[in-house]
Amino acid sequence: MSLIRWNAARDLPAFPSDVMNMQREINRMFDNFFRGGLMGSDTLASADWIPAVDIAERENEYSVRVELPGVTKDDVKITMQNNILTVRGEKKQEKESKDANFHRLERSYGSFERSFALPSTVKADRIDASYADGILTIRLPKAEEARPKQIEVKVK
Amino acid sequence: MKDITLCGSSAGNGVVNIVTPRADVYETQEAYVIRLDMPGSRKEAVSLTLEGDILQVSADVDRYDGGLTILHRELRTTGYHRVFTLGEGIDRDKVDALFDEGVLTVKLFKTPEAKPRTITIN
Repeated sequence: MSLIRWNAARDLPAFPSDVMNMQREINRMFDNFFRGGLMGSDTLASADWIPAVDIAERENEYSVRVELPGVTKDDVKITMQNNILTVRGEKKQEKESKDANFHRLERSYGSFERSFALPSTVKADRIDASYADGILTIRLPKAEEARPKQIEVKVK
Repeated sequence: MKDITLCGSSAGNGVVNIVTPRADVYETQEAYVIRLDMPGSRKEAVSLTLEGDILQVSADVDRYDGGLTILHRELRTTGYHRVFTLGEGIDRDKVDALFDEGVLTVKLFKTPEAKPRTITIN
């Protein structure tokens, strides 16, 4: 008799396929979460934490919102290379808390990084960014040809 | 100092999503300091109340204005709420608060009796 690795699904022939499907679905969701969204590919390398991001679209621009509470403007670096937009930086611990006695430590510190593959229709030289109330907003204007055009069709 | 907030990020229908903000609590010689990450809120949208031993923090988060199509969404917070129970040795009348860069800092000063004292040896 040989030892076979126990597999719950095999021992239960009538194991509902719905449950298996659900598990696959959950695994997929987890994979996708770390892979990024519609536009993006995320780099996990050398980052201590990953800020949450929203990507939105308007008629003439894309906007990326990054949650960076407690990060100083000067500690954020935004770069654009080969149509890859990268936001990286560091969240430093407040100076006066360095030698304090901690009761609770839930906030994330250290380096963070996220990258996004942009559509080629973004005007790379006109990207601008602002930071307010813990949110970094990057605005990526679309090139003229990417904006929706309205063509009037005359009915004869 | 105990934290008695139970509500988590359990979004019902995706419309209202009140989140427990992450907090650091540390103690210096003169005070207890609570720092809460509340990105997306504004100073005017934050409310802080102290009633007896209960310190309550709540805040609203700004929503997107119209004309936008969200392509990818991870920021789902519509508000923040967290409750702390204060212990002994905190001066109820001396509380400082500051909201900066999406972080709320609450400073709770210790009563004179609770501060560490150095005793000189004769």
